[in-house]
Amino acid sequence: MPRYGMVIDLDRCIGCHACTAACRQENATQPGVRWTRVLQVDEGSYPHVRRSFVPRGCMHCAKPPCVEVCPTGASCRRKDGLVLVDNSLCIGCKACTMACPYEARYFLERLQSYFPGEATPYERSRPTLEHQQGTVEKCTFCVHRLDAGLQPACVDTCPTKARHFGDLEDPESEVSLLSRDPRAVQPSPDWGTDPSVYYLLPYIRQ
Amino acid sequence: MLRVRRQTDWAWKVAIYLGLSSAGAGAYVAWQGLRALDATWGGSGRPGAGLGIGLVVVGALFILLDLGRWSRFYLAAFRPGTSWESRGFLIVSTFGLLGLLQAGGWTLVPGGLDILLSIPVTLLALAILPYASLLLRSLRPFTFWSHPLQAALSPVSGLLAGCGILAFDPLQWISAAQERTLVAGITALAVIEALLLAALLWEVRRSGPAGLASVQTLVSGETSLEFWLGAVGLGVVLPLAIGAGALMGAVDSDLVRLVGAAALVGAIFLRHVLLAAAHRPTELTFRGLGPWGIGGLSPLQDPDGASSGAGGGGRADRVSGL
Repeated sequence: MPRYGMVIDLDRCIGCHACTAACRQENATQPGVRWTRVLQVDEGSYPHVRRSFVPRGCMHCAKPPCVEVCPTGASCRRKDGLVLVDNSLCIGCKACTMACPYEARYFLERLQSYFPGEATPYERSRPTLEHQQGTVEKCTFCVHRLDAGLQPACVDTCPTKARHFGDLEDPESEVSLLSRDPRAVQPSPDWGTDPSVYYLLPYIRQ
Repeated sequence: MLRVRRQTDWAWKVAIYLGLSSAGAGAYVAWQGLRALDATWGGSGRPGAGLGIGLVVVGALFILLDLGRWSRFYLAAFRPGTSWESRGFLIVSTFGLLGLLQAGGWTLVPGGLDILLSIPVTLLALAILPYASLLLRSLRPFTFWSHPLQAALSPVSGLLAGCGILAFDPLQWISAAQERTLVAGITALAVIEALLLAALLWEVRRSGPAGLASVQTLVSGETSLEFWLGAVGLGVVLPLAIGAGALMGAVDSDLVRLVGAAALVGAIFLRHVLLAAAHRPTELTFRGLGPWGIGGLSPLQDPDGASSGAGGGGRADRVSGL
């Protein structure tokens, strides 16, 4: 079975937030909800300073703590490694949002829209991705696109090719090769969740 | 230093659920314990034990109110294999059902039903006492909840509030001698709780940025008023002061009931502040580099530069052939 994963090259990320916008368009997420977001990191002290950008989202962990604590089975891990939330089973207890060390989950306390009383064209065109009040949601690696043979929207959109997506179990795949790069690290390994997202750390510009 | 953020997902409703279930179970366990030592408690402690069972049921309603979709609450029973929330749902609901059956039997079917149900209901009550700490411990990002002293504090707090419920004695069935026994128990448990709380704060503040932030929030931050007035004042100091005074002189029934009510309210405040003060790290860390963005530059060097640091090697795009 494949294990879908992502490698994000921090040296290539320019902080344009195109991935965030693409995700919001593709999944018609609620105002304030960003399944993927780009954090700005400023390091060092003058004159040795550096600004980096760190895209963050669900890490689709191999040992997901969110799945472990879910009392209903709504949070589950598919055989291909995707960690998903079945909205029909979610009761909105928020245990998963607290168990996730990567803060990748959002609880929809109430449904909102950008234009009250009116859906945007993106919202109207995606009835299957209906967001349900009182449930938790998160990045799905664009599972509907994967099932259609496409890449996640953030990967397709990234103008600098900072994001790479594929099967980590396939030793010849691009993501598998990149995940073995000396610069490749899993985020916050102390949690022991074995994330399926790797970061390629940036080089220092001398 | 690692940046941290206070949790706000679980607040008063969850605190009331955990506090009441723990206190109610504590009342039942304390009643059964006292009953085992002195048979007269079998009758006189029933109002308090019944109140405890009722409070567990009422507490369960609060967790329903906290759910995003409460009408599907029954789904929470589906994953007892891995989820402490699921286990808690099963344990608390079964305790509530069997406990209500037992309490109903006291008036309708005296005798047999009480003996039959006492053992399973006591076992369930014993399971509820440490439940809050086990549930919170399973949420790993919060180091404050993972500290081993939390596992001791939870049952002690439940037993203290449980003795308070028995002392509240809604029907005033317990005797003056029994009141004295309860006051002695409450005083001893209040001392133990105070020591545990102090030790917990002392230990947690040294456990890292999240622990330090939790302690600061409790002692002098956003939840300090609830902590000092509610959890410490009502939950520890008042029972301790009145209890110690009563033990030295005559036991006044009204004061004993006041102590009981204060212990219960204090336990709920304690649960609330323990929930509300928990902090979690918000930054990613990478092996060997510490928190991202804090603490200096990455040791990795550009291959065009002179050196290569932790595992530094060829560029990624060379490896991938891009």
